[in-house]
Amino acid sequence: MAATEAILSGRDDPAFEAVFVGYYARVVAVLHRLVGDRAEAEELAGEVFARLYRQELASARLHNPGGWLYRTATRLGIDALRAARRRQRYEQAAGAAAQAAAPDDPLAAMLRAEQCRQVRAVLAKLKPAQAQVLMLRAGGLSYKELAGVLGIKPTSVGSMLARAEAEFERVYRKLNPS
Amino acid sequence: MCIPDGALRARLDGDLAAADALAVDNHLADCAGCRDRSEALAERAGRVQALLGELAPPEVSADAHAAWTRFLARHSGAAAQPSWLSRLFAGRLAPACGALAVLTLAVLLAFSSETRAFAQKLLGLFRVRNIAVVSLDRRPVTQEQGKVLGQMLSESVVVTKEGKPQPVSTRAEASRLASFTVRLLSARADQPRLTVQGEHAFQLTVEMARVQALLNLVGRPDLRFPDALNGAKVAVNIPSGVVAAYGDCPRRPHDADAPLPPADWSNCVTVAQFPSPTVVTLPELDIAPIAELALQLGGLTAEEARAFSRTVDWTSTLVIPVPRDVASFEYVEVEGVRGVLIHHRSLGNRPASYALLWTKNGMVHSLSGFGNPSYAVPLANSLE
Repeated sequence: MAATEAILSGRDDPAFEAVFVGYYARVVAVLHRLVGDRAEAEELAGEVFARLYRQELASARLHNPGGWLYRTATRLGIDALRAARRRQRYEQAAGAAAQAAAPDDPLAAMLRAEQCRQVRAVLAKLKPAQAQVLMLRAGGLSYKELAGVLGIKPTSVGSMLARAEAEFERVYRKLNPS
Repeated sequence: MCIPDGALRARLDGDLAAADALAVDNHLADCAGCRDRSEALAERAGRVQALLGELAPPEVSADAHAAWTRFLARHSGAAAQPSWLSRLFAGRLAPACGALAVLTLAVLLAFSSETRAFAQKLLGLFRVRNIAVVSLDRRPVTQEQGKVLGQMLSESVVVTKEGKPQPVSTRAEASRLASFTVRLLSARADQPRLTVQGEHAFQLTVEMARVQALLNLVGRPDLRFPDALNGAKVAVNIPSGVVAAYGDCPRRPHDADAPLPPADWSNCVTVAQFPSPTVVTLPELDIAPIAELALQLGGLTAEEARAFSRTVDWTSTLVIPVPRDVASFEYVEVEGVRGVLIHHRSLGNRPASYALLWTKNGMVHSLSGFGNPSYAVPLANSLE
């Protein structure tokens, strides 16, 4: 089926505009952390909010759009990371951005960019759910918030994190033997 | 009894209830094995979180308001071809908007067939003889959703006739082109602008995958239509009708969400008259359960839907869903038959409007305007 654009009229929807404006920066930050490229992060952020709008269309407005937004943003970002071709583009862009950010120390910038590339490669290889819990925790969510966003019991968060960290380290060492 | 990794990990983050934390600490005091594991978990967590922390982007301010403007520009706009189909689903007959799309969809889907043969015996099954209204508590389908639905639906649709609207200057010419005697408001002294709406016909092939996607789109993946509908062909014919616009009217009266320049539309009255649309297929299915599903889509509970469904004859009644928050309605007598007067409250730039709908002699009529709604019935009664 051809992709359909959400059709909306901002005039009629001040509530949605409020959610958009309130959460935009956070959603972009989550995506930027994942894909490393600012422009791509903003593009994906647009898709996240479009999906929120479509999601809300017939059902009642989500009581906790934040949780939904975090979950969707990490999922879309991880999906983007897993699309290998795009990852190459991000790495180039991220490298360029890192250089721009630290012009006085190009070596440090390069090392940092390489480090990030490695981390993203690992994230792309993990099971999406595991990459998701790691990124959300890195984003500062508490166990209670993680449980809410991921739809699991708060008592399960600890073991999920432990397993995801174990897997992350295993894959990281496999990709970077040293 | 040693502590599992999950609890140790949670203890590290301080995320255990006080009593559980105490139990873990007490155990760790006595158990070297668990202490070692806890330390290993802590170190690994530290390494992984440090690596992930490297990903944190440099602080760049995000201009959310500018982004919102871009988002609006990107995600609003006209639906794709065929635009008249989207307008149809956007509720041309009533300002109650795209909710009609859902029920129209249900009506279309109801007339399906177990067999794929379509052309042999044609029975006109659905001719509007009555109009009824069902009031829904929330806006079941918005104008925009109606457009999206229409667009998605239009991908399964083959348009077989698409007449263009044709402005005409005399009643006689309108009657000739539309093939019925056009009636005008004798109570109005001014001359209306007449447009003959061309005949439209299309064939719809039902694909269950698409139907399911539509239901997902409106957030009701739980509703199921019978699999037997798959591949069924339905033909819809909307005969040529005539629209007469009196007074100063917004240039595009059908686009219920278009911004109106501030002006006085109170003398605007639009009269539309159409021979009843026909839906044609080989009938086998009982339409009532499918209509009930559509009503549930619109927000009624299963019980309410069933109760309402029993009060109408679905093969001859056009049911208009009216969202309670933007419109109210009343049944009125017009031209000796029961009609419905829908009051649409003002919304943003758009002033309050009304629409009077009734059928007489197989013709569906609508009289809509922005002025005083108490003129609606007397005006309608002056049609001749």
